[in-house]
Order: sequence, then C-alpha cells, then structure tokens
Amino acid sequence: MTHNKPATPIVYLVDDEFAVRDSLTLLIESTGQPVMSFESAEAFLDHYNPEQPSCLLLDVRMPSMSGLDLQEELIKRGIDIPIIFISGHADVPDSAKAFRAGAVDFLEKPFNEEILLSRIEEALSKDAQTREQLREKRKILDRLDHLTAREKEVLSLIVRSHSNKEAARILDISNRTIDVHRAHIMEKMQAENLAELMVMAMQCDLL
Amino acid sequence: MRLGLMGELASGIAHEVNQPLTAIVNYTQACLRFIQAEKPDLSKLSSILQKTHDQALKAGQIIHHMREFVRSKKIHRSTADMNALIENAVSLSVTDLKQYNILLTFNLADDLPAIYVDSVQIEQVILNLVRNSIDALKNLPHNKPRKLFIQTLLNDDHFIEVKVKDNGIGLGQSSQKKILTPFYTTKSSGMGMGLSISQSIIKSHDGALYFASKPGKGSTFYFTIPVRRKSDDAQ
Repeated sequence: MTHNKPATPIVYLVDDEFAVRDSLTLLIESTGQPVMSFESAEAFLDHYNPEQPSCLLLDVRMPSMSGLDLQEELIKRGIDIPIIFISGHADVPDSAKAFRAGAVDFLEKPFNEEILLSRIEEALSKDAQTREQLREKRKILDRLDHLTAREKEVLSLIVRSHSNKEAARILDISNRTIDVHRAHIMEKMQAENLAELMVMAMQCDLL
Repeated sequence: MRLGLMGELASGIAHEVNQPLTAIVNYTQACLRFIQAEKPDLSKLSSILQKTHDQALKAGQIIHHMREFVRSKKIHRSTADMNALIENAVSLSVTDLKQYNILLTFNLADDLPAIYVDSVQIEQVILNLVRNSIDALKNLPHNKPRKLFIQTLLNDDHFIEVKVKDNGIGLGQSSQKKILTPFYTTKSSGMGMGLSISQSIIKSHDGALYFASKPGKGSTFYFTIPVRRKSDDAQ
C-alpha cells in the first residue's frame, strides 16, 4: 500500500489591499507557514488547487467579487476549504451570513496576532481532518469497486443486520455460498469483523 | 440626511485608516518575530520597518486629506436666522429628548440680525452639540433632573453667540484637553469626529467654538457666528 505523504499545508490569502496582503504574508511566514496571496477572488479561483491542503484567509469587502460571494461560489463548486474572514468593519449581518455558510471565524482588522495564528492553525487542522476522512472514504470506495455484483448485494444485506440465513433466503442461494461471499467481502474490504465493515459502510453512505 | 453624511464620513475614514493600521500591526508583529532569530536578518528587518513607516505616513495623509476636505468643502451661504436653524436642528432630536426624559428650555433673543451662512452646516453643528448633551444626560441617575438649555444672543462684537448647556456628566481634565481633536471620543460607540468637524465648520464661517465643563456638573458649549455684513450682499 502506498502512503502519499501529505503536501505542506498552505494559507491562501485574498485581500484587495496590497499593504494588508504584504504585511499578513510576512507575519504568517514568520512562523514558518507558507502563504500564497491573491488580490482578487477571481485570481484565487484561477489558481486554487483542490489537492493542496489549505485554509483561506478572506477579506469581506472587495471590488467585483466580495468575500461572501467567493464563499458562495466555493460551496457551489463543492470546495470545502476552511475560511477565516478578515474585515475592516464589524458588520453583524455580514458575519452572520459568513458563519451560517460555515466560516471558521470572522476577525476584525487589525487583529491580535495570537488569535489570528491560532485560528489559522485550527483551520489547517480542520482541513487535514476533512482530507483524511476523504482519503479514508476513497480507499473504502476503491475496495468496494473490487467486489462483484453479488458480493455487493450480500454486503448491503449483512451490514443491515441480516443474518447469513436471511441473506441466503432473500438472495435465494445456499448458506454455504453466502459464507464464501462473506469471506471474500471481509478479505477484499480488509475488515476484521462485522462492526468494522459497518463503519466502512457508514463512511461511504451505504447505510 | 445630515447625520447620515457625518456617519458616512466617519465610517469612511475609519475604514481608510484601518487598512494602513492593520498593515502596521502586522508588520511590527512580523518584525518582533524576526528579531528573535539567532542572527536576525537586518536588511529584511529594515525593509519591513521602512514599509511600516510608509503605512504610518499613509494613515497620516488620510487624516490630513479628510481635514482638508472638511475645511475646503464648498460653503453654500445664504441669509439665515440663527433661531430658525436651532429650531430645525432640535426638531431632529425631539424623539431622543422625550425618550430620555430631558427637559429642554430656550432663551432665544428676539430680533437677532440675520447671518450669512451655510444653513445645513450650521444645523449640523447645533445638532451635534445637542446630541452630545443628550449622551451626557441620558445616563444620569433617574432621580436627577436632566436639563438642556439653549440660548442665543448678540454680543458686542456683532457676533451671534449660541450656548448649549447641559447638567450632564461633564468632562474630566484630560478629556477637556483632547475633546476637540479628531478621533478622540469619550463614548463607547463614537467616532470622535463630531466636535472636530463642528469646529472646522464654525472656523470656516469666521466664528469660534469653545466650551466649559465640570465633571459631574455638566458642560456648556458655545459658538459664535458673525452677523451678516453689508458686503455679503455683493456675493
């Protein structure tokens, strides 16, 4: 089995103001954390790489596409990147909207360095978690792909708590055949026991 | 809306100044981190300090421009009656006066000569003084009467003098020194622009704005406006 070493996480920064971008980049990089900054939401969307572990530091008010617009667009595209909003205004409706759409935090400029850096850390670890879950899910889906059509039928019955006997009856095959299928399923799915198999089924939304 | 204009101006300035301020905070924090390195990169530090310096200058420029803007704002003068301007301005605060149970009394001089001013700006000044008084009065204990008094008179120098007096919380010594400076405020939600803008407006009308205050006793704000001169007719 190959373990892809996860790439170094990156902080994407989008703010239309050069000085804010430049100074934030310096500040965050001073901790050893790489930053990639963009002056517009559009430029970010052009460069965003879904494979790159990351979080997004996003200005709320920008000409053309606003931070909230970008958040909406990312959701539309199915991109689940943790977002920390940074705003010059403590705008309650804006922050409420951002949080409802899943923002990690909403910081008012200028911000306390420690709060900012710890939020970035949290956001990156949230991203790592999401990616780990996704990797796990892909692995399981990949194993599922190796099951035969009949094995998939048997799987869907046993994870729904049907006994071998019941499964045999439903599929109209012998108990012995079910036993063989079941052994193949456990082996192909790399499951030690039924409980593990059920967890896998849950992770892949089979249950 | 006059209040809207002031609010917008204040919020605009706040946003403008906040950008360089944010950059300064970030740059200095980055410097503080870099300087902790075993062998700090001095040229890097110096370049960041230069940027910090530039941003501080930028913030100063924004404030400078704003003051110029207030000062040089075109004045649309016309003949006006100070007492009428006061009544207009106060009418905008009637709801608040009622809500906070503030007793307003007037002593407006009869037969005041006309003035030649930008009525909107002068009303803005009066409104600002009245609002400040309301803010100073609204948190007084309930058993204490809340009084606001507005007076007009013609002084010996042919200036109309307007006096706005309250028996509110008053201003401490240190506040008194700074109260007319832009961005200084004693209020939790204030921008600190009202009085400095008011003072600019009165100055641009060749008048003066001043005050007297005692903590716990109240404040009195005064401003003067020259009466309309013969030469004003020619304009």
